[in-house]
Amino acid sequence: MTELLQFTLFGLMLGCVYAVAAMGLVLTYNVTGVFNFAHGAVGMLAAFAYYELRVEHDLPTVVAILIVVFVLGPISGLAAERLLRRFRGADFGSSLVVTIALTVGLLGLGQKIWDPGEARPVPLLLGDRRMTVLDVPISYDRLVQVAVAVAVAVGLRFLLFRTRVGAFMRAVVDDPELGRLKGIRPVVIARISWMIGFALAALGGVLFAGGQILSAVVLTLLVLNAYGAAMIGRLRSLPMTFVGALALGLIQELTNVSWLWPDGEVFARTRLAIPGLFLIAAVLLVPSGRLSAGRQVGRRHPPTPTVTRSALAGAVLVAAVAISAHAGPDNATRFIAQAAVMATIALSLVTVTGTSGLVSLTQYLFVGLGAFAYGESFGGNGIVGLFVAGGLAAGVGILAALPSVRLSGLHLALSTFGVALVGRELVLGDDRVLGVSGIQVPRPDVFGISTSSDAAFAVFAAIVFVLFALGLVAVRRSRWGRRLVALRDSELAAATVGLPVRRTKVIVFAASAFMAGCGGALFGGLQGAVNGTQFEPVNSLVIVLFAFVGGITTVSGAAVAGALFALLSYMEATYPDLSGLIFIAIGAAAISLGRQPHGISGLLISAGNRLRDAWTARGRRDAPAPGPADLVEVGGTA
Amino acid sequence: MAAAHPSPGIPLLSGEPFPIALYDVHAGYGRIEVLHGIDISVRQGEVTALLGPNGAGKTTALNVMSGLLAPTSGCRHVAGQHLNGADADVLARIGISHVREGRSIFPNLSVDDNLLVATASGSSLTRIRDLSFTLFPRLAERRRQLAGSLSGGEKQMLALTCGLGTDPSVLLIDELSMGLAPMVVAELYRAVAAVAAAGVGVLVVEQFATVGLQFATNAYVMAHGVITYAGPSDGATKAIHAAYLGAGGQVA
Repeated sequence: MTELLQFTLFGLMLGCVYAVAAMGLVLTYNVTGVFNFAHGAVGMLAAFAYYELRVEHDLPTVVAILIVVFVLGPISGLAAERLLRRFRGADFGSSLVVTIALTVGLLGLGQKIWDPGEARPVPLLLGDRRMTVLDVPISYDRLVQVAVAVAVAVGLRFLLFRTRVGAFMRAVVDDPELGRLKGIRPVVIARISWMIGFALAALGGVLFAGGQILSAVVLTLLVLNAYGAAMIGRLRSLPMTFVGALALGLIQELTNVSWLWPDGEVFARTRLAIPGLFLIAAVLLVPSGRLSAGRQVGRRHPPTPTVTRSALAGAVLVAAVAISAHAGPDNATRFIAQAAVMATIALSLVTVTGTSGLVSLTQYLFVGLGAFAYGESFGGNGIVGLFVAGGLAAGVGILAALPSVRLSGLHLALSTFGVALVGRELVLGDDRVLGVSGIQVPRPDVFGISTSSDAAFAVFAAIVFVLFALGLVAVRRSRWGRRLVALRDSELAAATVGLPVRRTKVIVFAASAFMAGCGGALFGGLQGAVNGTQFEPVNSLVIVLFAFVGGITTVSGAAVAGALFALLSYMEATYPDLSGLIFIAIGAAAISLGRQPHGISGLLISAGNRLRDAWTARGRRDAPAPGPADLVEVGGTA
Repeated sequence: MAAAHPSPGIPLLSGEPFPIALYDVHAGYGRIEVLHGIDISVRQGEVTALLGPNGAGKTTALNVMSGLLAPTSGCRHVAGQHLNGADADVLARIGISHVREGRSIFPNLSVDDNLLVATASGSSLTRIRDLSFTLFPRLAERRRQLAGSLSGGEKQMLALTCGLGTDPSVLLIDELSMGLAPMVVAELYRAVAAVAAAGVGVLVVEQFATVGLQFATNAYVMAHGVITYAGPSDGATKAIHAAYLGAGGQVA
């Protein structure tokens, strides 16, 4: 019985830390409309900053905490507000991508400043002192956690309901336009909420860090766990968020009670998967309010080329890969192969996100599954093996998609991230699948031709990419493709004209997972051996950013994304000083491309169109001035 | 500054400087232009009516005046100053008060909090409270109630009192009478007339022309994004018939 009591108390206390982080997230989301995916990364950086001040510079604990929470947190909150201001009123996709970019960029920054190879133990905030409550020894740290969480909850309540600024904030949440008509400065309110949000993320990070050995990824994910709690409060209600946080903490700690939770590896893994499962359950079970028609962000997309033209372009691409792989410098060949592999994985995102508007943050689960299937079962079996790899991934993709197809927008994105978190623990982390030790993945023989050399493999991967790309182009030009466009433009409108929205979504997810699975088979072949740590959920975020920067709406964008990935890897490999560059570079690129929804590829296409227009208009003085008319956003709503 | 009128053919109400005026304003949403060059000026101490059928562009004109929408061309003058770039919150603090169509209140805030938020434009809370509760004593009884749970008439009272309690120099009111009983409408318009008498420039938009004309000194009639009549309100009937019944043509 003591055991139960002990872990109940521990659970509530852990929940308190989640609550601190989650309440900050909810506050910012409500006031600014931006779901700050970077909340976890901010908490992580804060924990490292605290370590730097407390351990390296030997400041007193209280001073270090005050600096981190009341100076660094709010200042970076201000910076974030500045950065995200231009995304106010943007569709949810671009603001989500930007905060994902921020997450990845900050993660890269953290690993750049604080070398992950070095162990950084953070002492308990209040040292080793403890007291005994009902026969349960409880460290002062945990009491502090409770006190802080209660203070934050009471403080927020006071701010929102007892102060003028709080009334303004609630007013802006209720009706931003009317708020402006009343004379409320939107920027001031946004700044305040970002400052509070970041301060709370920082506080959460520091509370988590006490007594731990710091790891950037682990800390980021720890704070990310709070997202599930925030979903329990529907991202609206602070009290329900608190309840959700306590529930999550309780569930996690109660699995330590020996008679409640069986032993065994599967259960141990399930325990690790609890935050992800909790997130999925919260997204699925808590009604997310009315089905909204969404904002009409009418956008012109670059025209889909004809299949013939694409086939020509594909042939040119394969030829270019073949020539450069054979003629280019030896150390570059591998990166050319990598470009083709990553392009295939990025193409899976063009399918699901670019074509159909469904944000998927779980692609690397499919990549990992594909690598596993190819290596384990049908190694060396060429084309058949590819189908097996893709099929396994597609099967899991359907399973993962089935419960979440009724969701859309942010909720769908979060549920896919939940799937990524669960998949990491339950599937890829399992030693029978990949685990830490991993497996060998051979390269295929295709029609008797060995692809064991990097050059041959590069050509093979390029062909696979081109075939998928052609398939996607053909689908986009078909009746089915128009169905997908309808889905992307407005799910509600698509449903009203009788399109089977859910079935279409499941099929799209399956197709995308199939591509990602084949990409995974290639990925495994490229590496030769893979293990579970290569398919972390963070990688799913990174590949979304690459696809977005390359141009997530076009097939050529996937090729650009793959090339960019390989280029950055090449630079990292050539100049060791630049290690950690990829995260920072792609984060920065995604943020700066921001509202250009068609990425580099879109920029190239419109530049090409302008050139062509200028060419055809030469000599004709009265010709209309060539403008960026091909790629303009059709603004707003009625 | 108001002397050179950009589009001849439509008479000016007067040559004096106005607390707010639009000159040859074009505006719209995205690529769709709604206002095709309109001129409206509001006189201090008077109620001006802006009338027209559904879809004429009346609300858009008000949105341009209060800064919710920037004109794509033309000028917005506030007290004789050219202020095209100013945002809604800036104009609100300058003294332009806009009561939007529908219920221009925060439904999830209490009546008291709605009044508190109205102080964002820089007026004092006691002033707004005293004014509201003397004007509409019913609101005082509902102070702690969520504004969303008030009756339609009470909501509109709250919206109006939040709009005029901030001591504005211009009060823009969109469809004050919509969905309300005639008695309530009369009560609301008495308050509006009192505000105008105190020296505020009031512009009321009404789809129901007779209601608007009763209280207004001058009137504008709009149809399809252009002004078809500008002048004393008792001479507007013909233009109104043309605009509502589609007789077509401009009536000068």
